[in-house]
Amino acid sequence: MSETYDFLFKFLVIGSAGTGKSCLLHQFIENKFKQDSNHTIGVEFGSRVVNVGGKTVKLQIWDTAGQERFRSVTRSYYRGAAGALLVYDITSRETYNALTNWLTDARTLASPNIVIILCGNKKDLDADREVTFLEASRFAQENELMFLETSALTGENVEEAFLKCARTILNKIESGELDPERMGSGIQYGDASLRQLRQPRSTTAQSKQQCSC
Amino acid sequence: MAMLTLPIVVLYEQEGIFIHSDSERNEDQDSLISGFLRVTEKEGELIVEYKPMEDAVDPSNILCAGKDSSSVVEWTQCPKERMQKNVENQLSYEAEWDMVNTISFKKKPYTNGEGVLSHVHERNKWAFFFNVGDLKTIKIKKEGWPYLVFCLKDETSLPALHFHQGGSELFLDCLKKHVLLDESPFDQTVLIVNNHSKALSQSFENLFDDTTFGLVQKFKKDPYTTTLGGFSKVTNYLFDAFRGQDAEHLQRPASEVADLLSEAIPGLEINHQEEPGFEVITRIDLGSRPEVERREPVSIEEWTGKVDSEGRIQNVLHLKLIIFKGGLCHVVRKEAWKFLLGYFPWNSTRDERKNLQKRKTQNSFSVLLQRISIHEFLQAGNHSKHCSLLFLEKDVNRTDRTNTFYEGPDNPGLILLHDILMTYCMYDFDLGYVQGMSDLLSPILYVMENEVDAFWCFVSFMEQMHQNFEEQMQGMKTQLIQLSTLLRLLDITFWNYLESQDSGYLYFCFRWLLICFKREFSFQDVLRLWEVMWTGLPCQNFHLLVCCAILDSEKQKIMDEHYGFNEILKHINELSMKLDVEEVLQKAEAICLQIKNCKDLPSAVCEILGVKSEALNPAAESSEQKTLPVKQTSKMMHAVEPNQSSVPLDRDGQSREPAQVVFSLPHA
Repeated sequence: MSETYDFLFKFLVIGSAGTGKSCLLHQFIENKFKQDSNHTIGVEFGSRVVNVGGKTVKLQIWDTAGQERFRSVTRSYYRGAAGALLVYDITSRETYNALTNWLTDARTLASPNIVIILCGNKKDLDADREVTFLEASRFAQENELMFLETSALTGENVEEAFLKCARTILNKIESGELDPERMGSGIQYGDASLRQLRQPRSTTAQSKQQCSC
Repeated sequence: MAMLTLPIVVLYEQEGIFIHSDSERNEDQDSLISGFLRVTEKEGELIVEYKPMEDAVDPSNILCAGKDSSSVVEWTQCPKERMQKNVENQLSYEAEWDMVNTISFKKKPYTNGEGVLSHVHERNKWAFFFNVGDLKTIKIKKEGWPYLVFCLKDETSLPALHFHQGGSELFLDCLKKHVLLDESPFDQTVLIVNNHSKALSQSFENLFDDTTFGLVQKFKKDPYTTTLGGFSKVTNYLFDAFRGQDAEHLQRPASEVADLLSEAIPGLEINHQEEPGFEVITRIDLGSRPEVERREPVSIEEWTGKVDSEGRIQNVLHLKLIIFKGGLCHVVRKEAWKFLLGYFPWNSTRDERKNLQKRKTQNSFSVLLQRISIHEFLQAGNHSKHCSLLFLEKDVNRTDRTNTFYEGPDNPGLILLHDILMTYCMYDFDLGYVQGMSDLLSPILYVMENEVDAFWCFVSFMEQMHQNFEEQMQGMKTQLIQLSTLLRLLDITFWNYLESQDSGYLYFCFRWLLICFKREFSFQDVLRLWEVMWTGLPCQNFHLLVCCAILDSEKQKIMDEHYGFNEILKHINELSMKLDVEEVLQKAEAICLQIKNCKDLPSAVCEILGVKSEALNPAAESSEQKTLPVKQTSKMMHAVEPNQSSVPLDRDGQSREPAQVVFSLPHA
């Protein structure tokens, strides 16, 4: 039978071409660096079940093509994503400069509540760095993103990026800030009984609190 | 802590939009409020905002000044009669909205400083904004100055906005990107705003403004008029309605449903006549699918047997037919592909081809030389070209790197791949490099093992594929629409299923079409598939039937397992490298014959496949491959003679040495 899990989250990996999106996905799924990875045409797909805070969560991850020309196509895959890895290459300022566009796309086309983690990939190529950690973390703060520098080559922070994103979504569900039952939330229950268990808690929605900061 | 907010993105802005604030007496006395309309997006919320202009250049000032100071705007007191004169179809004016809440206010004459202030204040009363999520309908009037009237979900109607300087279409287009605007079944001038989650999936769907999709949408939006427009055409929709999404119905045999249908509507006849701009979707009995057989690849003996003493190819049609039926042995490819791609004319002699090759070598060399200077130019400025070259560099390093021909660092095959793509960018400067091109070149270079031949063969191939890569991706749109037309003919049940899963636009076939199945089959199978397709047999757009063949094998699983949008994509993606090329080709050919044998083919299908409704003699359509025009005028340069590789090839080309091609500059 099919694998069991408490939740299913739809994730996106977005960012400019050649930033290592597919390699991050591959590293996360297969635990190794994909040496001769082809550039992505259209979208590719991967999934993995992870354990986050005592819950099993299936991550369904869509990896998109990076070239501007294809954005009208890749956008159609954005629908209903709960989380996203927004990737740039620390050795390429151009990929960093493109972040705003990707961010806008994600927030407008996926879900306004999409949880996004910014990933400065190719951390291992520190000698060729063009974007400092500080600069990117400031950008992340200004745009309410989480931020990590990652290396798909060494695997550093790759698992963390996906898990951090998943954990945040889970916290938001538990706090009532995110409603998995809303259409296009990008979240599904893995088990119908869980929904019944959870429902009383969600009535104490704390969503009002977030506006008071 | 300060709130961190997203920047506001302006999606639409238009000046010269007027509110005719009081038109009770007559039009001349309209008080015109000039302002601008804006659609902005903030934190995922879409806001429509109207603001009167604050500057003095404003016709309403003049009109206002000339007006009786007693002109009172009474939005809430007796709005209904008044506004219905002015704007039809406004239902009620419950005071919710800022301006409406202002019970009544006097228009003060514009006299002194104080007047200016209050004038501004007064003008601001006309400002409004609302969240698109709260929008219920938009009424449109197009005679004269177009105007729009917004009605919100709480039944508030906002004053009509008159687009004196145009821009109403753009505004609606902008909204359509985010919400569905459906024509009201009761009033053609009213658009009903549909805010449900589908809005987010619109981006790719916007690619399709073709009428092929129009009918389906039209029928959903407006069954009344569509039905009246051609009742007979509704048959299939009724069929679908009967079928529903019920699994039970899915299994009901088509014939049974058809019987049900004709019982339900006696005397119903399906009208096959098509009207312009109106796609007829009729259920056609395609008949059974014939058995077809494939044959052995064309051997070197068979190939040389077709070549006369001067090197001309004899009996081209038969040759194409056997290539279509079985492909080519690898040893023949290097020669045969040049003909198939149109680089060599079929009727050319050996000597003519030698000269041609010489000319082409010079041409591409001149292109190569130009490349250097253009490269410098690019580095100086043009940003998008610069980006496209960056992609090129990146992608070359990740194209077929597991193939021995391209593997390892500093592989000469890789360098050639890079140089040819570079040359192509200069050759087709407007297009530049687009991701996917390296996939199309890689097999050609692998077979040609020569920069010049590979370049010109690639040029020919790109002539066919060009549209896929253009900025607006027109080629992709067209093909997806055509594929959809074919799928509906072959299996409307499956197509309806896809539609019900928001997959009717067939995005999951995107990669197939963009790079001609390059990533779907193993490298060797791609060579086979391409040479078969390049014969131009047995019909036009055979590659679409290849898509149909693959989907035909998967449709049962997709429907049985009740795959949704994500699962369909995932399933199709994961077919990659698992498909059997011979099986797929066999089925595609069988489908082609099945369609050709059908009597009453819709003309759209005939057009796509280039067939007539009756079975067609394949000989009639295998038109001669055209030779390609050379886009770049040649500057005579020193010729570069490639040292043609003489490395023996084994049958499947697996264990060859990587690129044996060496270029040397001849002595001047």
